[in-house]
This record gives sequence, structure tokens and C-alpha cells, in this order.
Amino acid sequence: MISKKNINILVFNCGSSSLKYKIFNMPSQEILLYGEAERIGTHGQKSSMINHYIGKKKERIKTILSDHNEAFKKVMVLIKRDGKLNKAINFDIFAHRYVHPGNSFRSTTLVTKPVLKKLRKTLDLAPIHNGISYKMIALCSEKFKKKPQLIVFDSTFHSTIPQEFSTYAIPEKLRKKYNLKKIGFHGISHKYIMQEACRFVEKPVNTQKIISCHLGTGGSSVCAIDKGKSINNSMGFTPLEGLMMNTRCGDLDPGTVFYLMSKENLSIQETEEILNYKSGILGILKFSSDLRDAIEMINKDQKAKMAFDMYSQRVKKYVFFYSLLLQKPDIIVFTDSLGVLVPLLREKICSSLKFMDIEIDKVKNNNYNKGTVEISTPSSQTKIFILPTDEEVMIAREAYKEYTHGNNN
Amino acid sequence: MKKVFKLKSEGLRDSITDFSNWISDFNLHRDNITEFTGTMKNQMKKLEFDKISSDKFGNIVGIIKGYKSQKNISLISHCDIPNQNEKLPGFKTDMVRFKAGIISSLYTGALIKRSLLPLEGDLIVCCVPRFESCEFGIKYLFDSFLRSEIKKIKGIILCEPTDFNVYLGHKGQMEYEIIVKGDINRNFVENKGFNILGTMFPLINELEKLSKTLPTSQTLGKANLKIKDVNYNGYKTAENPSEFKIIAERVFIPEENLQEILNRAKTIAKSVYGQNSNLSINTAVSREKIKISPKVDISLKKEVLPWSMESHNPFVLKTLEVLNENNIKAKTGYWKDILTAGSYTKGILKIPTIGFGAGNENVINSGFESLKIDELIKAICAASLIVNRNIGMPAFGWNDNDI
Amino acid sequence: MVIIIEPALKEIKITYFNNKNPLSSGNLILTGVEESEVPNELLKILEHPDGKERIDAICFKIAFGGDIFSSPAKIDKEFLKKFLQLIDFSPLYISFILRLLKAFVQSSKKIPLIAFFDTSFFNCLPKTKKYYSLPWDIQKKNNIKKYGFHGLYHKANSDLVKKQVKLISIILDKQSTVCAIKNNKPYSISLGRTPLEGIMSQTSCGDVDLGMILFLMKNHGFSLYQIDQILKNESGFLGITGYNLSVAELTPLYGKDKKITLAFKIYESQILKYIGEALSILEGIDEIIFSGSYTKDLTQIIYNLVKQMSFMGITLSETPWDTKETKTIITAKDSKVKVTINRTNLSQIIFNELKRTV
Repeated sequence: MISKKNINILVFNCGSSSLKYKIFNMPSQEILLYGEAERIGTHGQKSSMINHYIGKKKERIKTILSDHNEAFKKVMVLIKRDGKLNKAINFDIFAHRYVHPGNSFRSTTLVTKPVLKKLRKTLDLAPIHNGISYKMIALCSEKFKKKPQLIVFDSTFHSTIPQEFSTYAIPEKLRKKYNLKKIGFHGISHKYIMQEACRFVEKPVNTQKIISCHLGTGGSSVCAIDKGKSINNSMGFTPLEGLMMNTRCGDLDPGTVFYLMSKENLSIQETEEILNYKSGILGILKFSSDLRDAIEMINKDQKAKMAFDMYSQRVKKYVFFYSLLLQKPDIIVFTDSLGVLVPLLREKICSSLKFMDIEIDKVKNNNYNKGTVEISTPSSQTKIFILPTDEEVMIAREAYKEYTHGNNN
Repeated sequence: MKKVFKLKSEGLRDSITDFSNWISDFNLHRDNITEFTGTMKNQMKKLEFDKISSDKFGNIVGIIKGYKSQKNISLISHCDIPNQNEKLPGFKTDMVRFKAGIISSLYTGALIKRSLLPLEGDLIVCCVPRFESCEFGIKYLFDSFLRSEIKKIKGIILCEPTDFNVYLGHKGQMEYEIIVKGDINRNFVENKGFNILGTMFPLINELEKLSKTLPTSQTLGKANLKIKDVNYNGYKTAENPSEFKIIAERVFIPEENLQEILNRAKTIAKSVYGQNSNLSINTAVSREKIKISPKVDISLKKEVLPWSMESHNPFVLKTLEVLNENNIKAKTGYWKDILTAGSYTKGILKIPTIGFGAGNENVINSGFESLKIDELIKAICAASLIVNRNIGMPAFGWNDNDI
Repeated sequence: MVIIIEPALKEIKITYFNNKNPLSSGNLILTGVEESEVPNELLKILEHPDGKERIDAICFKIAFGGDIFSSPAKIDKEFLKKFLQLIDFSPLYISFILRLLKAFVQSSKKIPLIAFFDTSFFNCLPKTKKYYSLPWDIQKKNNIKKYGFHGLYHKANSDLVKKQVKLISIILDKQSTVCAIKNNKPYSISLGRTPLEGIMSQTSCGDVDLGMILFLMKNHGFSLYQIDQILKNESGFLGITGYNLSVAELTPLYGKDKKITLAFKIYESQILKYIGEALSILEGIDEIIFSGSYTKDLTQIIYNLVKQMSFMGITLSETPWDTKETKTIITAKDSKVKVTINRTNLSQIIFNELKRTV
């Protein structure tokens, strides 16, 4: 047997205005240091900063972060500084998260010049997110020529979605020409949920039917997992499909959108702006895009109640759809900010499952504190969990698997 | 949509052929305008236009009503009306300049009506009489009959030859006179024309030299100056001095100022004859006399303003989009030689205006106008597509078979 | 005698009813008929009805009633004025219906004319399902909401069950729709405003990713009209299989041709999605009723769908199922959920509705 190689992986996970980083020792998954750069490129009252954690020490550094590249440089300075003080703080490879590679990349990939070239062609699929990740990867290549880089994609886990769920009923020529199909997102998170949930119930991954609800303050998606494989995801070719999100509309009749565009003389850019940034919870609630704000006003404001009801009903639509596909799941998991922090949401979704003998324990649900907790009743035929996601460790796992697999020695 | 139009237009083919034959043979001039108007209105009635009217100058308006009167589109064609005995250069008296536009606009209205496709606004089909290089007909049309419509008109399509492209404007044209009055013929023998020519020649020469230095507009082309006519009215008394006139046809671009053109002409004339203090030199825009009623004449300036549309205007973009989607390879362009009502509708009223039609302006101007009926039908279908795209009610999502 | 007219742009279906039963029916095919002549052609039925009975009423099935018509309505000049306001919905169809109805209103015979709408049943959809997650002011300004479809079929199914029954009504027809019904009211509908959402049909796409459509328009220059044309005329079964065959013609090849099998599997998964939605809002299920003119061809699909739900305690009775009766129960007596195929055709449904309202 080949002994598992011991390496340190520096993981980067970029949001639109944040940069999370962690150095993992693999395969132990021990965290050597971690942090987050916040409010990158935002011009608000609160200034940008880097929260840096190493050992028990916590640093809060207020500093100008005009873009992700500047944040990267400043983070690398901190890591270099810590490395000088402690030899154990080093890293062998980079691992990046990349959201939307379309059909071009189907698994975790080592960065080379041809890979960079191919990656450039995917930029227009998600100009903001892909743009930020690409620039980081390019900068790493430039500044750390000798360090291998691995890219972990949000869509890889969903490459097992069967044809009948991933094919849109549009002309074949069109589908083939532009590679149009359901790509799926949050794959890193959903795969992590699958691995951790199975670990928790102590059952092999290839035996469990799981519905994973990744409900965040930004994007949200539900994933149907059948015996270790993703078989469906509520997002589609783009993250616009599926659930109602903070500012995204989710499922919506295109005929209505065309009617609106024609009547109001909207350009494509204006339409995209409305559907991506002005709809969803914000569209109904108006004063906020956070579901928690809607819940606060739920008894005083009709719109708040409507926003909450629409959001939860949309999640329910997919939970029930996937329950039918899987013919009753073994496990249902709630994760990411709203999934973990909003008991009312879980309650509304799960109480409607009662007729399928799936039952939520209200007390456990309301008293959740932290960690992985089962909130279903003992007699429930399906287990319900709250399981906080950890995309960084998942990225490290995937990068490690690919790197050591390719470097058998 | 193209299928619907193609199908229905075949049903109109015979009517188009008959009407085209009639109009080609009709010898239109100032004294038979009423007959022309009458026949046009009858034809509109046969083609089921919803509202038909005309005015005393020969403007003919036919309306196809829409379901709402939100934004309307107007199709404007023109008919040239020469004086009875006037011979237009290069034409025989039994030919009138470009009539395909008239047929086109009329039958586009008919086709839209027949197709039963609902419109959001009205389709206003106008045929406007054009008197020698001045925009009287169109001016009167909008000042009186269509006055209330001006704000509601979303766009105007000029049915003029564009070779199936979308034309966005043309240069302006002004006819002006340089009048040199005074004691020019002292010492000259009357009727010895060549001496007068000798006097006039320096000015003509200067104008010719000027014509070579005129500016060019990037989009519209080169300005130019042509001597249209020269005349001399002979020896008169001292009280009524003789004069000679040079009549110039000046094609100009938007960057030029009309008054400055006249001033420059005057300056040139003065520089030629300046030494002779007995001469008075003036410049003025030529005028055309129009009879409003048996006893009243009005005189109009013979000037037509340049105009152009921006190619990113939504009206232009939508038009190009629908034509290219239906395999009509239309590009934007500008007329080189002909003048249109756009000078008034866009130049002065600022209503978005484009030109579209079958035929090539050069061929038409050469006097050998002839157009195949098939080309005409193609233009009619294309214009219908443009109207439908701009003011037709869109139906998204549902197709004919589903409901 | 009552005449039921179901007008569509390509053909008009006419059924004659006496007191109880349908007497006869026929189709007036409109392709080839000059459009301005259609109302006159249709009026001829007033001249030569079957038998010598007097005509008590003429009923028209109309696809859209918008917000304005929540129940069957008497057709007169007032009606025509109101109906005109709906023209935005589908201009060609509404103007076509207007011309027809105008001819009848203007005809001298004083026969009561009544309009039945496919959308009336859904006027009381709950707000959370009626509206989209678009900015609220945009929806209000442009009157955007779900109007629903197949209301007449869904209401007929709803009337077959008791008030407290939780019912999922599934219509398999030129369009396919799924409706959740409780207390004889609709709680969800898969087709909101146009067939570009919900379940695919012969040429329309069903659910697609709106972001993908924006991608095609922004990055590859497709215009609004081109995309609309593709999604409504070139997609669906045609888009997957490449064959312009009707669904009935394709079903025998299910399982034998790769693309046709894929098309049907996608179709099934889309229906399943909306069954899931209906279950989620009903929080339970007592009965399922399948209706629509395609039920006789799509028995395999019905079987597959119900089989997929067997884990909920639904046990199917042995195939082949009876096809002679109008209503066939296809589940066993001990099944937790009763599943019925209801073959009542639309004209009978309208006739029954007429008798109920009068």
C-alpha cells in the first residue's frame, strides 16, 4: 500500500466581496491557520479588514482592500510572517474554488498554461465570481511559479446527474452548440454534507439517499443524492434556476419575462440586473434581502410573511420533488447560514413531511446550538440533521485526492 | 410572421398588378391632382382601410386602426407634381418619378389589415404631393391634418428606393440665386450675348472653383454646387436696371449653415464685381409658387434640410433586427442623390424616420424606372414585418397550436 | 338543445347536446378558410342544427379570462368590451375570439351565449403561489401573476371529490398541467402564464433555466423574438427527438428509440416535480385524478408516475386497466391513495358546468 503523503494545502474560497483562506495539513485535516478578508472593494461605512487566526491568537487587521488581488497579497504577507516565526506554517500547494466552469472542466484540475487558457473561456459564464477566482489563480501562477495549484469546481459533484434530469427540452442543435445542460452548483458543499452525514450515521456513502438543502444568505440550492451520487440540483446551467434566493428570482416563466422586456422596453442588461439583483426576497420585501429580516416582521408586515412563505414553499417544492425521485430519502440535511440559523424555516419545511412519516422534533430544532445535530424524532422514518457546511476542508480533501492520486510515489 | 405575410400577399398580387399598371400610366400634374386623389381614396376603400381622407393640396391619408392608440407608425410616400407643361430633366412628359413607394405603402396597409394581426397603435399611410424641391405637402400635412398625431407617432417609414436597406438620411439641398443688378451693360451692344457671358464668366468660374473645395460629411457624403441656370434680362432703363442671375443648386451637409452659404456666395460675387460700384449684388433662396386657391398663391423657399438618424436608435435597431431575422440582409445607409420628406419629419419635427423600399435610387433617377412585381411584393412583406415588429402586439410563450 | 363550441386558431370543435347526452360533434377545420369568413362559417350552425330542436344556449370555451372573469359569463356587448381588455395576453387568439363572438352577438337570433374560461378556477390561488419572486412593484404595475390553465378540467375533477379531500389533478393534453386541490380550491398550478414554464408539450420547452436564456441573448446575440420562437415552436418533444410527431404517435416508440425515451423521461420528471410541489402544499394526499385527451395514449406514463409514488402506500391494480368506462380507478382497494383516470371530455364537462350554474 502506498502510504498517504503528508502535505499542507492553502485553500482559497472567494466570495464576491470576501476571501476565506485556510492552511490544512492533509490527510489529518488539521488547521494550521485560517482567516477571512472582508468587505473587499466595498465602499461602506465599515472599513475592510482581515481576520487572521493562528493557534489561539486572533488578529483583526483594518486595512484597505480595493480588490481581491490586493487582499491576496496582504494575506500572503501575513502567512509569510507567521512562517518565519514557526517553521510548521508552510504550504505545499494552493487549492482554489471555481464556481462556474460550464462544461469545460469535469473534475479537480491541476493548473497549467493550457488549463489557464481554457479557464479564460469560461469567464463570461459568471463574470463576477469566475473573474475573481481566475485573477487569483493567475496571480498565484505568477507570484508562486513553483507551487502547484489545484482548482476544485462547484459543478464536479453534479456531473453524475442523469440525462433525464440534466437535459432541457430545447432543440438538440442549440444544446450541442453551446453545451447547454443543468450544470448544478454548491457541489463542494453538497458533497461535504453527504460525506459528513454518512459519517455521522455510521453508514457507507453508497447506501444512503440524501436531500441536502444548502440555504444561504446569498445563493441557495437543494441537491438529491442517491447512494453516493448527485442525481439532481435545483440550480441549472446558471445559478438563477430553482429556489427563490436573496436577490435572485429562481424559477420563473420566461414568457412573462419576455412580455415584461417588450412592454417596459428593457435591455438584456437591465433584465439580468432585475432578475439577479432585485428579485427574490428583496423583490417582495423591498427593505432587505435577508430572510431573517422578513421573519422579524412576519406578524407585522404582510409582505414579510409573503416573502417567508414564498421562500419556504419553494424549498419545499424541491424537497418533495427529490423525495419522489429518491422514493423517500434516508436523510435530510439543512446547511449554510439560513439552513443552520433559522429554526422556523426548518420547521415549516419539515412539518409538511409528516404524512410521509418524517417528523421534526420541535424542541431539538429550536434549541440548536452548534455542530452536527439530529433534529428528527426517534420514530421519524427519515433522519433530519442540521450540519454546518465546510467548503474549505472539502476543497482540501478534493485537492489532496487529486494531487496524491496524480503523484503516486 | 413572415409566413402569414407571404401567404396573404399572394392573395393581393392581382390587385397590386392592376393598380401598378394604372398608376404607371397616370400622367400626374397640377391640374389633375383631384382625379388622382379620388382614385387613391377609392383604392383604399377597396382595400378596407378604416379611415380615409384627403386635403386640398392632394395629401392622401389612410388609417389602419390599432387596438390602442398608443404609438402609431406612418408610412409616407410621395408623388412628384410638375407644372403642366414643364419637362423634367431627363424625363418624357408621360413618366412621373418613383411611384413604387405609393404602391408599396398602400399595399403594406392592406396586407397588415388582411393579416388580422393586432396592432398597438394605428398605421397611418400617407401619400404626399411634392412640388419642385420644396417640402410643402408634408409641411401642410403635419401642420393641419396630422397635427394631433405628431406626439403619438413612434416612427415614420419613407417608402423610397433603398435597395431593401434601411436608409438613415441624406444631405440637404437649396436652390439659390445670385442677382447682380445695375449698369452692367453700358458699352455693350444689346443682344451681343457673348459679352454678357464674358461678364458672368468670372463669377461662374469662382463658383466652379468653390464647388471643388466643399466639405464632406462622414456619413452623408460630399456637399456640392451645380450651376442650374443662368439668365440675363437685357438692357433696361436706368430706373429699372438690367440684371443677371445665376441659379445654383447647392447640396449641403448638416455642418454647414445656410445663411453662411448665401453670405459666401455674395462675398464671392462682390470680389468679382466689387470694383464696379454701380452694381448691386444680392443672394436669396429661390422660391416656388403654389396655388392654394384660385386667387391665392403662396411662395415657398426651395430648401430641403439635411437629416440623419442615429444607427443605435431603437426604431432603427428593431427594424434591422426583424429584417435580418427574416433573411433580408438589410444594412444602414444614406441616400446620395434623392431628397425625401425626412427633412421635415426628422429634420424639423424630430420624429424618428427611416427609409425602406425596393429599387435603387440611381436607377430610379436615371428615368428608367421599372420594378418587377415580385420585388414590390417583397418590399411590401418586408415593410409589414417592420410595422408589425414595431407596433404589433407581441405574443410570447403561446403558439398557434397550443390554444 | 345546447351547443358547445371550443374554438382554436386552427380548428373549431362543435358538440351538440340534448337534455342529457351528446348528440353529435364535428370539427370545423379553419386552415384554408379565409379568416374574415370564419365567423360566417360558424354562424351556419345556427341555421342547420341537428334535429329540429330549439337551441337553448351556446357555450364557448375560452382559454383566458384574466382577472376580469372569475366565473362563466353571459356574452353581450358589455362582455365584448371587457374581453377586449385581455388582448395583451395572446393578441392573435383574443382578437380571433372577439371576431367570432361579435358575429354571434350581432346575429339576430336571441339565443343565450355563455363563455367558460380556462382561468376562472385559479382566480383564488393563494398569494404565495399566485405571484412570482420578481420585484413586487413590477408585478403590480404590469399585472403579472399566474393565471393558470385547464381550469375547466381541474374544476371538474375537484367537483368529483368531497370538500376535505386532498386532490392532485393532472391533465395530460396538448398542454400538461398539475393542480393541487383542497377544499375544492386550487393551491398550486404548474402552468402560470405561458407554456414556457411547467411541463413540456410537443413543441414548448417546459421548465428551463432563465439564466441560460439570458446567456444566449447576451453572449450569443439571440433576440427576444428568436428565443421565444425556439422555446415555443422548436422545443419540447420536437426539440429532444427531432421528430415533428404528435405525442400519441411517439408513445409506441417509448423504450425503443433513445431520444424518444429520453423525451418521455424528461416529461415524466417534469410532471413529478409538480406533483412534488402539489404534495408540499397539500401536506398529504388522498386522491389523484388524471384527465385530458391524451390519457388514453399515455397509460405507460401514468403507470410510471404512480409507480414512482408507490412508497407512499399507493398500490396499483393489475393492468390492463379498463378503458370503456368514463372513470376508471386504477388503484387497488387497499391503496392509501385512490388514483382515477377520468375520461370525460371537455364538451361534456362544459355541459355539466352549464347545468350546474343555470
